[in-house]
Amino acid sequence: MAGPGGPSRFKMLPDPPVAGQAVEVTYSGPAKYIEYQIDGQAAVRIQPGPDGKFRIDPVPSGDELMLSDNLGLPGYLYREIVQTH
Amino acid sequence: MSLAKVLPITVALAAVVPLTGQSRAEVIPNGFANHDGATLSDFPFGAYDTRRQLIVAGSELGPSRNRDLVGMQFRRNAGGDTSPLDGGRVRLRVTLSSSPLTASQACESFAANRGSDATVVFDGVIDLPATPAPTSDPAPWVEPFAVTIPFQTAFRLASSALCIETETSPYTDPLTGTTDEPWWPVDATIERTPDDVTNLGASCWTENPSPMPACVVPDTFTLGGRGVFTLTGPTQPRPAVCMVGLSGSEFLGLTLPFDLGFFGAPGCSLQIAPFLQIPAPLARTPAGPRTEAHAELPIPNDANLTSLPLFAQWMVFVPGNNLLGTQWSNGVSIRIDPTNRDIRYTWIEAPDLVSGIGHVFRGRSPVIRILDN
Repeated sequence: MAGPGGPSRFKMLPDPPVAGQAVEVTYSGPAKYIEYQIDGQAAVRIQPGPDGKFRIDPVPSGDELMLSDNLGLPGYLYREIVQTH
Repeated sequence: MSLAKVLPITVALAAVVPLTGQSRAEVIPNGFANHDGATLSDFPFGAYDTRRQLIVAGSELGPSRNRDLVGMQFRRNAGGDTSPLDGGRVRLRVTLSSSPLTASQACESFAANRGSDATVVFDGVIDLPATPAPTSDPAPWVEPFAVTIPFQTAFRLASSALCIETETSPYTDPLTGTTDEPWWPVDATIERTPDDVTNLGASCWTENPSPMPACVVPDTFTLGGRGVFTLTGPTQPRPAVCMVGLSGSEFLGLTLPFDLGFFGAPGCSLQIAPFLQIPAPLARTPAGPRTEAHAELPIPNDANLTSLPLFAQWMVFVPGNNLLGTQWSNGVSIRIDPTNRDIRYTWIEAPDLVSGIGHVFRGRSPVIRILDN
């Protein structure tokens, strides 16, 4: 699972995410909170469960989904959102 | 598989410390040998440049603390996680040392946490196997559900805390130029910790390369205890004062942080609202070429103080450095809490291999099976 420069702490299913559908994310880093953001919209703060998992349901419409744990490059990931028609 | 792929691992295995007939193992944190740690971690197999330290109380090692440590194992995450894991390789260096600090005292500085007997026990490539869903919960301590790091040099602990330092970086195949991207989270645990230890801003202290030289010793901030604030510095002893307060947001109507440039200390900020000043000079330490200061604050044994946040910031006197003749540390805050006791492990992490400081995560640890002779 690659961030903008290689592997990251996030694993996403499905990958890439699909607008209007749920995406399950697994986070393997030490941060208590992570943030996700769609394009330029306000960031949403989430606390992953003890198993590192959280869901975005549904994935909003937009061009890109960004995930960040604010701990550096390994904790930063973006994916283009697949649009459904 | 090409010889170039096989050879680095073969060389590493040929140089490992052999296990003897008296070999045994200890799992840290204690209690997780046969219980899942309830969370997962990329420590140490995340395939990106990361430096980490895990400071572990020596008591966690049990009999292993008086024996030669010869290897360690990590098991895959289970706990209901049935997803297969993606194999691949990572480069890993492991350094063990006898930390001069306890797990509670450990702070952002890698050098301060590391002992003078630091020994590189492994330096090579780790082959992470593609792993199916675990067959048990927790996952068993056998391949492909566990990975063994055999030490090339044995290590024996000489103090009350073990510092396990890892430097992980991606592996690139020298023939194809392809970089492996394994996904191999290991079993990990979180115990109840004082997660209200917060860093406020950064230091403006130009003599000191650390942007966060001020810290706290969390397990001293209990009812009836003596809370300890610490400051680390470069080689030159200096007079210093620890300012303590009850707010990090406002002081005499001023919003914090407050820029002290107007008062002759450009680049410096007041991070807290001080109501108490504790003189505590920076003095040289026997451990090495740096200075330390400790300020103690008696805490009454009054249950009404539970969860009360305390804030602190250090002012260091450096004559001639600016109009005020002072430099200022980062601020720190911590809550008084009885559960601050007994921090057995602390994890420090930087997202590269060159930083001298990292983020601190108290009470978090991967589950590690330490092998000894």
